[in-house]
Amino acid sequence: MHLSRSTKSGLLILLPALLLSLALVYFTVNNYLSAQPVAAHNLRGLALSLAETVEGLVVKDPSYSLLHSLKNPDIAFFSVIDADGIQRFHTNQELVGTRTGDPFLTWKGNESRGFRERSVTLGTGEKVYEFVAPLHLPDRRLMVRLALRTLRADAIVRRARAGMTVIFTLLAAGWAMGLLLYRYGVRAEQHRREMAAREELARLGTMGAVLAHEVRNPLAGIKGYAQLLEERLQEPESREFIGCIISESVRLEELVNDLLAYVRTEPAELNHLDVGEVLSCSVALVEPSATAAGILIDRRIGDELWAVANRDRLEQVLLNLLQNGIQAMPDGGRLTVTAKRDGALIEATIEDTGTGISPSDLPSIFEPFFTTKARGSGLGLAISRKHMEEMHGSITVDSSSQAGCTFRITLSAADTKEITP
Amino acid sequence: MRYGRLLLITATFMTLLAVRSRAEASWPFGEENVSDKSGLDLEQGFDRNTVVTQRGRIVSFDLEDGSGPALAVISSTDTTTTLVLGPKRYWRDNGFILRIGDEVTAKGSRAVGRDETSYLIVQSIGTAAGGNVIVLRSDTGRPVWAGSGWNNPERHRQRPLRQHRGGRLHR
Repeated sequence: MHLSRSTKSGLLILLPALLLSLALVYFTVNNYLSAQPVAAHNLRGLALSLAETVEGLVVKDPSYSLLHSLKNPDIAFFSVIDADGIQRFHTNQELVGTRTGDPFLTWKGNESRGFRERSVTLGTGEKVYEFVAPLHLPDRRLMVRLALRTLRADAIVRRARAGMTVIFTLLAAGWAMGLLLYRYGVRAEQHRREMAAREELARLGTMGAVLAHEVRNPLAGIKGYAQLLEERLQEPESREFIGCIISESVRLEELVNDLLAYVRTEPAELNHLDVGEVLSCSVALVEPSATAAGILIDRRIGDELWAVANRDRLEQVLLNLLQNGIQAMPDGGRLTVTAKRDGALIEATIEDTGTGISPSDLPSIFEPFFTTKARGSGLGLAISRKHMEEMHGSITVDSSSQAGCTFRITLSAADTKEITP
Repeated sequence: MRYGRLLLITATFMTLLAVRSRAEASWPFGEENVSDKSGLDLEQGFDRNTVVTQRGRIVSFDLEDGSGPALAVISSTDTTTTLVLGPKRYWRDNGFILRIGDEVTAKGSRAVGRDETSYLIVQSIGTAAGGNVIVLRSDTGRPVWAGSGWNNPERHRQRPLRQHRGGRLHR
């Protein structure tokens, strides 16, 4: 896969940023997920410690009086319950001697279990952690019930959640800023390229004017005199030399014409025309040379393919593509020419079975003066693209180096053959 | 322009995050009532398990119009507690009054809200000097201003020790 330099540099920045973001997200989420077990562990630790204290106080004072001295801001209430479910001690003394009806607090069915815990909401709406554990006493079977406030434990989870929110917000803001900067950079680069292209065109325009006046006219004179000499000279060797002068003059003339066509700035006059008919005419023009090269032309051209275009420029594009296709198959082959309507577009394709275009050349083939031919000007496809853009159309290429290539041009479809006002 | 707006929204959101409000769960704008702020059921909530008696000096007493119950704040040497006294209208209709600076003894169900304030949903309150005692709730927590259907489970949220659904700690 071929990547442009800007894409590569973009990926070089994007990948580390993405990895860093993923790492941050991972650690933040992991931190948040571990906050809850940590909070639960803290509560359990506190409850076990308090239960041990209660046990010590009950051992020391079987009348439970010492339990009144047990104060802790995290305790919502606590009680000591006997095997019959009767509360022998409660922080609300009015409840001493009452029976608890909650199965969670009874001995029956829970004898073999160690401590039990659950989250409950009190009648006041306060959420507490409830912990029940047996007291290890030699003479009695008692258990302690502790209701602990979860504020501090909740704060751990809340802090982790707040941290996660901040990190996610910062990440989102960072990415938004990054995307904005990237978009700004892309636009600046695009603008720079457009300016460079305009400057290049302006330079070429100046050169074109020079060529038109200083080269084209003398060239026509050289070619004309050479043709006259060719008619008068009888000696074969001299005629051969003159032939060389004429053919090179013609090539130079074509180059000058191409250059002038490329730098021409006047807008194309757009009409409604039948692309199929223009394509058929162009094919007819190149058919003799194709037949001579052993190439079979396969026509698949639909009817009534009306599009908005300029006939001369469209013809020039099609001839250029057809000649390229023929040149790409020096040992013969098949040139498939299609034209059809595709929704709001008229699409024409020229597909050859030649050697194709190498992937490294593909991004450059529409650039001016880029050529892989020994004697090419490198302006043919650049002119084709310029003409297609002038007609508000497009030209693309699809090629594999083994199975030839396909040029595809599209134009806006026109519903009628009437001339655009 | 579109991106400028996006930036503005992002900056505003981050500023809101940066400004920490007193109650973390609330937004830093708009008025919150005391139940929302504390996360407790101060209108009808009560739990016998957490009933305690507290003494302290009245430092504020609020019977002003507005939402929420009548509140008073008492302060002792080691703690400050907000007393939840029931509907303001009940206090006004009965002419009950608490004077700032009075030493009082209040009995009620204690709870700590998520605003980390200690609340006492008062059952009874009287001056420490042995004056009149205002009884606001019965031993079971039934408010004296409540109608006959107060203990109807379909009407009232009397639900001590409600177990959390999906609580992670439950085994």
